[in-house]
Amino acid sequence: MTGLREFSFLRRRPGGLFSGRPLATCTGLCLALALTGCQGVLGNSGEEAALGEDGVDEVDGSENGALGAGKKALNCETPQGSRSLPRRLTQREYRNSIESLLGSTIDYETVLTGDSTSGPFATNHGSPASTLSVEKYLLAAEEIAAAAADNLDDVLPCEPGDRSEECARAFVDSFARLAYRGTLDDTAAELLMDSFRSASAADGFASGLSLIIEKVLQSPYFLYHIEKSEPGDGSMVLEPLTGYSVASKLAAFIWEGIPDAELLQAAERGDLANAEGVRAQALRMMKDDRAAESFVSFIEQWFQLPQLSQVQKSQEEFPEFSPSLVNAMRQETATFVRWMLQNDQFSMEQLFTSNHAFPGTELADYYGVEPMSEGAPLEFEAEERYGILTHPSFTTLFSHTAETSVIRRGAFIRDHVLCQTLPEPPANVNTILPEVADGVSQRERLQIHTEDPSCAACHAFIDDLGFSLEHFDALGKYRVEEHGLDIDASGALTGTSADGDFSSAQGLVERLLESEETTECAVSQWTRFAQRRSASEHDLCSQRELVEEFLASGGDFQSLILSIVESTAFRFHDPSHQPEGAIL
Amino acid sequence: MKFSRRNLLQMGGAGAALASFLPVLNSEAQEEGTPKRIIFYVTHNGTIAEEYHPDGAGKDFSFRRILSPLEPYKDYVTVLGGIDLDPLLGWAPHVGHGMLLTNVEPRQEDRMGMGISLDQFLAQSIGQETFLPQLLTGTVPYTGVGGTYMKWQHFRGPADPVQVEPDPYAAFDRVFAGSGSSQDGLIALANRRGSVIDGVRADLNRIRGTLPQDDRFLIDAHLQSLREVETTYAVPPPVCDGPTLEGGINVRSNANIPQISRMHNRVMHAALRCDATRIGSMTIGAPTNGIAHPWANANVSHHGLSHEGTAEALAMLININTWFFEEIADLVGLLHSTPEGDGNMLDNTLIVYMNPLSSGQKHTKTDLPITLIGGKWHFDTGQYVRFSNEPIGKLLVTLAHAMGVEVDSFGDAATSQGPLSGITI
Repeated sequence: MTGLREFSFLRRRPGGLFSGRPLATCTGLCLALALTGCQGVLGNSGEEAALGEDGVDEVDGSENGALGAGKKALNCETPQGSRSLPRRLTQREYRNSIESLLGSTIDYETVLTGDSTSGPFATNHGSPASTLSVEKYLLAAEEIAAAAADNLDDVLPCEPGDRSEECARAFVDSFARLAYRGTLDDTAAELLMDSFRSASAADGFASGLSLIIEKVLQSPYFLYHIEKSEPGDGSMVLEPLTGYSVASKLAAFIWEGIPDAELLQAAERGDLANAEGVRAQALRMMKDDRAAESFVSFIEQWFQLPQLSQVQKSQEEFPEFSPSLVNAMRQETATFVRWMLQNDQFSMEQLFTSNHAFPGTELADYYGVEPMSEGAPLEFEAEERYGILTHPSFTTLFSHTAETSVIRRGAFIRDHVLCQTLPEPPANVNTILPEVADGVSQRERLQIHTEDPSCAACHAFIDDLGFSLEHFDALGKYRVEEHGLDIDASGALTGTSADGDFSSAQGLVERLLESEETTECAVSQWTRFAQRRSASEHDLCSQRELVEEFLASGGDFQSLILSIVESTAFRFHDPSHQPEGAIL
Repeated sequence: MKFSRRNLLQMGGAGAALASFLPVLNSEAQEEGTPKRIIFYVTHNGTIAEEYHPDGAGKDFSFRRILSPLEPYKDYVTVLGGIDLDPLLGWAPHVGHGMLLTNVEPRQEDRMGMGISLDQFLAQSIGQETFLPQLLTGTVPYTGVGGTYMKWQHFRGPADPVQVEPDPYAAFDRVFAGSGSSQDGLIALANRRGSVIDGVRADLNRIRGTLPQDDRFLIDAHLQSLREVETTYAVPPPVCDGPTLEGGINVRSNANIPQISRMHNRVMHAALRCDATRIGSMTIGAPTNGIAHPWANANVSHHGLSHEGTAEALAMLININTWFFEEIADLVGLLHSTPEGDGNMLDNTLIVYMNPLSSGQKHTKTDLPITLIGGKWHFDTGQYVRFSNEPIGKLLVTLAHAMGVEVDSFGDAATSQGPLSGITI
């Protein structure tokens, strides 16, 4: 199911082109508007702020200052923050919770409905539960409970064969407590036992036990993350989140799942009431395999790689195409992420510049190389592999069925690596491209984007970024020519603090890494994933601190993860803040 | 005896009351004047006007390629032209689907519908007469997280989207769970589910009390959804045989889309035949659908084709849109060939085909592709009628009236002042 983009914090600005008048083609009257369409309108995605020298940021006063016109002055002297709306578990969180609780797995993509998103990430922040969702929760709970009822000795915390009421109570105390992430109280436990008693009296122990599971897995105490804080005396804007809330957030972020017993005990001891205690638990959690899987999931979601399962390619142009090959490409990127984590090299630099390749048998066959052996990745030449943007997973996804897509690759980089939101194309614009003639490159085909000023205003920010990747065809292979012509992967990076020319993907990536915008964007993406929502205006000061710490660490993601969980924004909230877009 | 959820609940769910339901092959909806049914059927990315709009006008018209699969049912068909998504003319591209059935301007950032859609309104108004107030299914691609544009077209209220069931096997199970099960078993299961739902409801109400006022809308939405699930799952389902579906088809694979569409058609037809519901919504694809349709000789992404401009691309777009109508014709054929009263099921069914764009290439939202099939009790069918810039709101009012729900307007009152004129009997 397709995702529902979270409404609260998205800062898409339609811009001056959208005056409400019907436009046949983008010429003439709209020309003047179009020239300024991307300048002065192309804002950041609402979260980044210019890094000022004296702690207070200057408003960018230039109207023709092009990108970054959305930057605001920040006063960070007083503490400020926001808060999250209740949010339901994502599909992956649900699946991982079941695995932790009962040791079984479900095919979450068919069993549950799709998640809503914040940026590229599944979050379900503020997303109402539709009838279909609630129905799927019911049916899933029944299926999971029935499977557990067939494996009672594996699931019960009692001696094998023990089917007593005491055993059921022990099960409730451990299962429901973990499922509710600590918030099980005596009333809830007793209600579950009441259900157990009447069902088991009628139909036996297994029936009673599965009824407990069905109720727990459909309960809002399981399905919803709800932030609670310790009430203060009202003198402080920010209140500290409760131990259980912090534990829930840690588990969602670092494991894409639920707290284990040890984390809940840490919460109960009060260890999570200070940054050091949170850091200690986070470090413990990051050693668990679940952390690697969560961070693989983060990277995959950031670069939209789950959509690879839907890719179709022209059999004529790409006879080697198969869903299995494309899946192997996706797995290569996942292996890359795990390798970075295992080798303490999980960083911006590695992610975007590494020339390591991790092909399994199928992918190696496709490339005509030997597959990697365990822990020993291959090294490619820089022109053939320079970080994730050159991975076949990425270049295959951001292509058409028979050819590359300069626009989609360029727009992705602008939107998700620079976090610079582009305005929509004009309403009734004629989007027909010139015919593909023999011996014509993508660059020439897209010539109209630079020739027609009404297109150029925005496409100046898109096309060149896409051209940088033209050496990578629509099925991820490196090439030196297209239709007999040498590939020209040169262009210019514009609208950033590191603008300038490049002649290849490597050149572009080097500029991107130098730019403030890319650093801020990476931090934004991480905090969206960590907080399971986009940042609000009141989170900008916290974001800025994270960016500074991130830079000081040399762009190290593991440091950033710890900075995030230790930050005020992660451990406190402003109970009076009203998240935008909520229906009142 | 006609099944009605209300009847069953009044009887207290006693086993004896269910004994009078027998599996039947012909339509169940026999007495008291046959109830009328409506199916909304939406496809996306516009059409190719020169192959969609018929030749001729009024009762003297002929189909071009795209509508040609409807040829056997021509006297049931009413093709409409000149209906606009007003006032979205100057808006950004893929934005019509949030307004198509709501007649309320959608939220800009995410195209979220900001009013109740007609199908939901009808489900709330007249859906209580049947086991399922409605059945929403869709041949929609399973996609990963993300996507630039919102895809939702059905809404229970502002920013409260309703999801379609993409899995025909799950849709089958929902409608025909009663078939082949013992009555006692169904009752026991229904009771068990009722008790679970009561427990969930109690938890929701407890949590609701602890939340800030402004957050409670989320729990309220869940409570409403829970009530709707309860009306389906806490009562024993009717006994009626569903269609025979080929088993084991991977519903997540795009290669199986043709089979999935046919399965959805069969489930919907049987659901109407069993009078399990009278309101259906179906869709194939989604806005900016990137799926290729190799079975229709279109090997390139549907959305991509709209922006290609070559003769080859145009041919593929015509193929895709013709295929959509082959699927609709398949459903129409199932209804037409099922006897009902003095005629057939199509005599008592209205299928409303809609597309939120007219030109996929230009993203225009005027002169939308809208075709009615059936609805003979209300419409003067068998004609091609062109209006002059009528807003979608008036179509929605017309459709509500066709289903016996007398409204003066729908959504934005300014753009839905009464029904369309000149097409009803």
